[in-house]
Amino acid sequence: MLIIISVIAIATTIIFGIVAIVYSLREEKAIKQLVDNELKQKQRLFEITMMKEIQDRIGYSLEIGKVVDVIVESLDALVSYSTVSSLVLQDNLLKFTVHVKDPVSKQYIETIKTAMFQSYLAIEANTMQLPEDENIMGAALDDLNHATPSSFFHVPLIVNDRVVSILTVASTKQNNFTEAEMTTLYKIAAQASEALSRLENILTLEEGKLMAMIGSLVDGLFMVDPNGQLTIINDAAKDFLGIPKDNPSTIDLLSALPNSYDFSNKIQRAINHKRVIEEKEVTLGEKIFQIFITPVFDVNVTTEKKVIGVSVLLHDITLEKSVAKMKEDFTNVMVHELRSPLTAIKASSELIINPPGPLTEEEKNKILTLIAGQARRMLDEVALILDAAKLEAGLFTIQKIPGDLKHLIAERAQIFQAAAHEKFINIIVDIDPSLPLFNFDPIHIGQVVNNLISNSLKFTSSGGTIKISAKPAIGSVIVAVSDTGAGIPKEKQHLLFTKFTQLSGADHGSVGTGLGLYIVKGVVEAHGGTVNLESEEGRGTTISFTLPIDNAKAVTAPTGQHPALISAAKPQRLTN
Amino acid sequence: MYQKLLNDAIHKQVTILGRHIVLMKVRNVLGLTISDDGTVLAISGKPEDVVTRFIEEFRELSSPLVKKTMQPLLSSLSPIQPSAVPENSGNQNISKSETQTNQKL
Repeated sequence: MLIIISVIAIATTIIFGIVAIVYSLREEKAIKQLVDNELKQKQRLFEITMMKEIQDRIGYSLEIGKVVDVIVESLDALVSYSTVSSLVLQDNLLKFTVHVKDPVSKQYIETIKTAMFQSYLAIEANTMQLPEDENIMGAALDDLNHATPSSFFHVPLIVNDRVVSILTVASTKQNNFTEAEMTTLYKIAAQASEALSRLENILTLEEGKLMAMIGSLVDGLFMVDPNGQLTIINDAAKDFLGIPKDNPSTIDLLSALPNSYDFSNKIQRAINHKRVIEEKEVTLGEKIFQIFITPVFDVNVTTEKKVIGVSVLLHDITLEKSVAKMKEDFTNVMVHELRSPLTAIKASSELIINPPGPLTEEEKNKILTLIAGQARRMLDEVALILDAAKLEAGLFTIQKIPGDLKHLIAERAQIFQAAAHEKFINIIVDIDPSLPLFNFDPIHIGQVVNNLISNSLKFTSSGGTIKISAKPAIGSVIVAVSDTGAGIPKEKQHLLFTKFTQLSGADHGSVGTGLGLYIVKGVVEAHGGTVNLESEEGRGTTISFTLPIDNAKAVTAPTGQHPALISAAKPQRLTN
Repeated sequence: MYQKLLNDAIHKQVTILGRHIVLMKVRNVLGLTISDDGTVLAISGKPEDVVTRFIEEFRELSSPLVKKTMQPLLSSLSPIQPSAVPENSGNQNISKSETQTNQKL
């Protein structure tokens, strides 16, 4: 009986023991599971916090140093370490920084630096130099401490296939870092790399758009950094300054600007005063510019305006200046043009009012004819100005009536024969007899023909020839006035049909309003035609125009006098 | 061939990442036996599978790094060889991951 009781007791004890062991093991496993989970949660939280901090800190900047700083500053929450170091690629140079937590020796740091550099070269295999400078932060070094980096790991930061940084965490203790801790840091680095790569791609795309926009500007634009180094320049600026298209340097830029302009000083002023400097008129070569020197601020810094460079805009005002000068010249010419006939009218009328002696009827008529002629000349000039004003305001209108262009041209050529004869210039008229009758404004087309012949006379030397031709084309007629005159320089041809343009010619004594060809173009275009210029210096000029044949089939020449003869105004003095 | 490729890759990664992390990661690779200094002692199973698992292990650390520094190993697997996909169903997860590895890289 005793034996049975003993056996039962032993069995019970064993069973309870086994149960206790099982429960104990289960509890231990559960605790381990809890610890593991807690660790995983902690690492995950660390990852998330770190990534948010990186995103917040970098914003839209690609400063790798900032990313490294975030990781370094938060590392304590993940692992214990002796030093954390970074090798950052900046401006094509590697910068080494170490944060010392335990007082290690200089030799310890050298070992880490060399290992990091070897890590970099093993990935990039380039000719980068080991950085000589060291930025050591944190605890003071202790050269008597002979501890070596017994455990360490490198975390490369790769952005768009380029190693931009190596981060190394090291400890004097053996096997100091767990796989989970290290893996967490690699994951953070991988996410940061991905975010930076994405950001870099976006910035590259935006930069491309910006560069395309800057490149397409008509104005010249370049940017220099606070040290005066050229960072961006568009093609227009290169053209204006006459500097090389490919990779122009700061020296190229500075040597293109005149010394008297004192560019460096102006840049400094814009940076120091943080305001735009405007130069109203600066002559560079043959051109005149308005220049704006504008400080460029760092958009990432919101607390205080930080100048990161200066943009310089070159606005070409050569044409505006030229037009302003033309207007000034025009005023002078108009005063001269109106003053001469007015003086003649005044003198002539005074002669009639207070004659020095009795005037015969013939003498009185002569004086009155002179007054009438001068008054007409003034009216012609004023009509010209009015037409130009109407053209500019878009109010110019033509009155088309059926007319005979053959007759009109022949008549106008005839008017200039006497003047041409005086200058020993031969006028040839070559009008195709098949030229049809059609609708046009005979007064204004008469002005056009007058103007072209008059200009040719002015610019053709004695012994030269002026040819006036007219021929039909498909749906239009072409009228051309050619001369063997001085020709027009290529660089001035584009100005020829603008207002107030006066070119110097063979007849140096002639002046004009400079409105003639401007009105020629306006009148022809009002008819739906075009004006064309062909000119070669020293060989002559041909100005031709087309007139669309309007309503040609319905037009029949009236009996008796041609409409052109009836409606065309008397020859007007249209000179340029 | 695979043993040499793996030895070279391990030694290169030791320089790049550091000995401790590399040895830890390599020891996770099923079918690979290494010495304490990281030398490959034996490859069990299909070498292509082992190489794939090796690459996957490091890809978890840094995909761009694998792309930049493991070209010889990647080339040895490219194009994807049918034999690289394990036949037994127990390794289906691994085979899927292997395929993804090659596609991602």
